[in-house]
Amino acid sequence: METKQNVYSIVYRSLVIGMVVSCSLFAVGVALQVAQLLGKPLYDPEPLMKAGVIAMILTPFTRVVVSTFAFAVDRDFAFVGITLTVLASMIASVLLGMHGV
Amino acid sequence: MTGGVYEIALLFGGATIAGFFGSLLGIGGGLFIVPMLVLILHLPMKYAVAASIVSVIATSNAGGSRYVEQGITNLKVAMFLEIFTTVGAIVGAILALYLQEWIMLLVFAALLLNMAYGAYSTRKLDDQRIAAGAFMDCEQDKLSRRLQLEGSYYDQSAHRKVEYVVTGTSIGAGVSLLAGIASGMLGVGGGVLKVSAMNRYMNIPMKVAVATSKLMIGVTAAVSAALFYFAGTIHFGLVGPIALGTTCGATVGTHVMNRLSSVALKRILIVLVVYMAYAMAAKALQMRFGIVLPNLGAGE
Repeated sequence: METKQNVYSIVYRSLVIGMVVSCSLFAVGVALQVAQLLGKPLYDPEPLMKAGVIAMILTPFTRVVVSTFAFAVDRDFAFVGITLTVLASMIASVLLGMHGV
Repeated sequence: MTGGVYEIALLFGGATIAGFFGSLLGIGGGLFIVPMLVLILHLPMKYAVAASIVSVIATSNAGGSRYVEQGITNLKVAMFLEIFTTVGAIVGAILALYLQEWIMLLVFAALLLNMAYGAYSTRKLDDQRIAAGAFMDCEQDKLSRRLQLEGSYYDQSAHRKVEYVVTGTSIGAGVSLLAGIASGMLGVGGGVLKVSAMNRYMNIPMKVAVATSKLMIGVTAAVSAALFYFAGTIHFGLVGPIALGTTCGATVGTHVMNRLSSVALKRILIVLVVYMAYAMAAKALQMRFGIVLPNLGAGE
């Protein structure tokens, strides 16, 4: 690959961290759901599920942010611009969507 | 066993299968998950779509990370095309306000059939070109040379390192824009268009297209999921088992994908794309003309 290895490793790490955090929250949440359904409620699973969804949504955003930094370290400024454009349109679509577009 | 526990097991199992095929083909798998939730669990469409979108992020995180680790993904191509998928998603959401959905469904059904035809007519080409080292014999366009989009990966079915150069950045960008519009308007079809465009127009080997698309779909899905989160349509009782299932299925799928031949992957893709085009066309006919075509069992 022509791309420097650090972009690959930082993208990989950001995805794995996001996956492990969200899936751990979901796993505990599902265990609590099952306990509830079996008539032995321990805790309410919903806050864990919510946190899992938030962690999941944030992972691709984080991936784009960290790759911007990695490309900057590599002094690959064309790709710093590209990743920033992607990030800007991601944020723009969330903001537009929240205002009913 | 209570009914609720059975339901959780069913969600997990169905999502695992969706995650597996999603990883093989570089797509989200919403096409499998939405009907499962609507037809089997009788959920309203908007909750089914929201739960499915969260699972698309899950499968992109799991599958995308494995393919990056295996060195199959082309990160630069992914980031370059993501500009167009994210802008396309905005355009799609705006178009949805002005254009009737049935027209868009028919347009995308036609586009998908065209892609299926393209994949069918080139189904044996990837393996032949890998064997001949022909992915290097291609004129790079200016932009792909400037951005250094070329790459390489180790093909476990051909047992060799495959090097390739990239071309056709403008048509790849154009189809990615359409893929973004499809995701933004219809919620499905983006992954298929991306994989087909990279492979057909950009001289990108099938497996690299699959791996790269797998990473890219997380971005548009995260934006949609954020909107569903704020709109309050995410059903927190459903997402856990579905996300865990697609994560498991996607992880298994990434271990299988590189061992299959490219022609096998394309055959699975063709069946899926034809089914997807049929489902879209059927929905359009029903919306506009009230014609009800059978919903399931339209494999080919």
